[in-house]
Amino acid sequence: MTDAQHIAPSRSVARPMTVDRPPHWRASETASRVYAIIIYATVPALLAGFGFFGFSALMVVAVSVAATFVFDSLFSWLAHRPTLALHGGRMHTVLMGLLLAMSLPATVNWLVVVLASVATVVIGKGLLGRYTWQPVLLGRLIVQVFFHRQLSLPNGPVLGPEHLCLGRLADPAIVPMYGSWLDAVARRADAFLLPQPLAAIRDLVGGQAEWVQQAVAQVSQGGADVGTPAGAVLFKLIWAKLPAVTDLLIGAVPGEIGATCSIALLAGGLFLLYHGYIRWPMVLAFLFAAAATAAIAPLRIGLLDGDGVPAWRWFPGVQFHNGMPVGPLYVLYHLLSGGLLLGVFFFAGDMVSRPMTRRGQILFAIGCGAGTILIRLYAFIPAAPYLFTSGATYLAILLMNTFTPLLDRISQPRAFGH
Amino acid sequence: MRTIQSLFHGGIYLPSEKALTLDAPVQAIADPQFIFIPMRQHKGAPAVPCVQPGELVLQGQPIGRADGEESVAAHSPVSGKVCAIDDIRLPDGTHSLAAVIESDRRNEAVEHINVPHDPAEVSEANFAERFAGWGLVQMSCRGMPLHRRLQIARDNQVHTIVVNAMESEPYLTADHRLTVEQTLLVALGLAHLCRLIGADRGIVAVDHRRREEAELLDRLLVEHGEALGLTLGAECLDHLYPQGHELMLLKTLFDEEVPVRLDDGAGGLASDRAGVCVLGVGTVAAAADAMLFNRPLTHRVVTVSGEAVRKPGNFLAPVGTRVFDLLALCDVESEYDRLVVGGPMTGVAQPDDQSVLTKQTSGLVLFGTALVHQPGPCIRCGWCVEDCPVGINPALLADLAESGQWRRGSRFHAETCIECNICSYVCPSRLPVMERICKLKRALEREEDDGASGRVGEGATRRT
Ligand code: SF4
Ligand code: SF4
Repeated sequence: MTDAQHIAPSRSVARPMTVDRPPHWRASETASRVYAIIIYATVPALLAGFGFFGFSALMVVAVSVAATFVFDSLFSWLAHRPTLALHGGRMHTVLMGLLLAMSLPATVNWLVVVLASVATVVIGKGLLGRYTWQPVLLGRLIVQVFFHRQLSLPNGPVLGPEHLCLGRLADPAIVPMYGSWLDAVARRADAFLLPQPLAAIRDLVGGQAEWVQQAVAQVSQGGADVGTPAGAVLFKLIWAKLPAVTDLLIGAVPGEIGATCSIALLAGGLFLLYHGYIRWPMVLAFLFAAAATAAIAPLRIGLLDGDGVPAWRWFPGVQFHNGMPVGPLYVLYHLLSGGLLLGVFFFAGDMVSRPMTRRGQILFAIGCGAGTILIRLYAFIPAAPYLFTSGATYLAILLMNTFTPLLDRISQPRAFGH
Repeated sequence: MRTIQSLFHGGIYLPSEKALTLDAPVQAIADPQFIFIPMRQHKGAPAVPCVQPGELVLQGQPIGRADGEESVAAHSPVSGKVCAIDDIRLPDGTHSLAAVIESDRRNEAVEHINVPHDPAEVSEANFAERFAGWGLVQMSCRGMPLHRRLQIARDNQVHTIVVNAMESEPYLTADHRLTVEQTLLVALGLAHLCRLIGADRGIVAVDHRRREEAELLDRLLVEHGEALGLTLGAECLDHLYPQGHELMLLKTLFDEEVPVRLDDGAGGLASDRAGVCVLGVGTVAAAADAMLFNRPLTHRVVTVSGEAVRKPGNFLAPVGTRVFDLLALCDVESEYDRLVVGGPMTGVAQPDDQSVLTKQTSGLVLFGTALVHQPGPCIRCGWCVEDCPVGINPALLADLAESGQWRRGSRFHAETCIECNICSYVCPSRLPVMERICKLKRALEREEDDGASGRVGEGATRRT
């Protein structure tokens, strides 16, 4: 009996059978799909940015995505880096381009955008594509150092209600005080110039702003119904210096293209949460830590001291003024402005640079949230006084990125039987 | 009967795909013309062939005898003529000697088998010899000779035997059909195995979606347990994958965790240290068959299923049947892409259909469409960490393995990995995560061996 007799012919082979390692089927998620869905999640915020900042915003987005893509391809080719060709590589590059545009104001010079793209790709993403620091934030930080006059402005233009999308941002009408965006004074102008919400909040720490001193002085002289100086200052801040909460929700405030519209960011964030690309504990920890820090961190809103400067007051978050919850409102402003939500969902939530374990993510998010508020309030560089108005969120996340490997290490889940 | 929720951390619900064959009764297949009986279908020494080419054999006749303590005999499932003793490739890729038997289709059996046999004759003193003689082995992927497995359990003073009827791999329904059709056999088998190793408790763990099966089993178990003074019963467990793993059963049923050691073989023996021995339902039924009818282990139930199979089903096939003989019965699409022996999570893809069924082959799954798994870099999504049932960080360990830092692996409990493959399944970058962790474990094992034989120095120089 020979072998040939008991070995029967195999199936009619037109193509070879696949011999692969288990598992022989996979979950439907792929890296490209993950990045594609994060890209979808940025769409609402980008649309809002286009609405309030018009074609300039569109230009920034186009330049940023194109430059990121071109330089990433170029760099990959020069450095023989395979990451771009692997699945997810291209999607990731596009996402980085979009996120970069979202974190830049629409008024920025396009050369700055290109430089930021180069920094993002070459320094941020690096050779292996396994970065410690979120590349966009790193790239943005680098150009921010050199071009802070373009990136960190005390005020900025917003298109008027009747000129959404189509108006021109240049030559905005100057509006000295905040009203509501909807009944904007300068209806006939295409755009009008508004103060950055966070710039006014920062003044409460400097203690030099005239309106703060005035408010405190009024209380010191005034009668029974004027309340505490802290409450009065916060009241004045909210009613005279900050935009209406509705403006913050719809995004009609000056700021970065993708960072102003809270509703759009929340929609994008919920979409990501639904897909499980970010997790509730991390988001809540970030928001809660930011809110708690803002509620506690002291401001100069106490009584005037000898030098005519208001004294420090802790716990601004619990102040009331004539029954109005000015403290909690102040905290809400912190959460809705300065790109905090953009940071929570898209930058802190960036998979590569956040910790992997849930506990690690919570610690990371607490650090980001608290860091954001502390940097906003207390980091001050005289040469660039508004550097940290909106850059604070981004800087705090970058700083916490540094600790990601450590957090991963110390927050290992408990191994079975240990 | 209440569903017991899984207590372990992580785990995932897989698509079940069992509906294809869930209600297909087990069909005994006609004997194929040629049967290849491997001499090694278990861990340990292979059996030694004791027939010559040209010799006539009867069904149930030993054709290989056990070689030492850690070995079992091999039997012919058919009557016929031995054509050759040949080297063949087993489904797991290893090679073994096999006796090639040409069936005469008369199925004449050796006279003393297939007759009622008094199970009390098998006692604590002689079960090792008897079980080895019947060719009983674990019929799960573990594949340890059953008497060795029971001896280990006895040495660890196991008080409970858990029979695993969870069948957590998708597509496979062989264990389910066996339990439904041979309920009494499973119950009796469990009772007698408890008696042999002095365990006083026995539990059959059943998928909660098979509640009726569990209820019938529970009734029989209670009845037969009482007669022997044992506490037997069935429990319904949630089908969260990998609930069917020994350690996860231990966790969910007893809320106990034992640290896994490298030599536990993906945790298969660790549960003994908590006094629990886990056996597959097929193994228990085979043991009962042997003890009650003096029937050696020559046949097993195999599921053939998958998208490329037009007539899927459950088959009672002789061990040693070639894969294509079985596939010929199932109207398989000629252009299927991959043939997997075992389930899709942990099974082994075959390069061709020439392999043979062994005592461990629970199913054949055929996939029609090609899936290309081009791995990309880890995007650190953290899903493998979230879903890992033993709470280790697969991404980190895979990284350590890739960069050769395997010594650090033990600090991150690489040995705890139970090789469930969830990490590779969920990975959006299609990384072979578990494979890398296995590599790390092999390296750690080598290191341990070196240490044990006094060659610590050599291991230390490899540290770099
Ligand atoms: S294969 Fe190992 S590391 Fe991967 S999920 Fe399963 S137990 Fe965890
Ligand atoms: S699932 Fe894959 S990509 Fe995600 S963390 Fe684990 S290894 Fe990395």
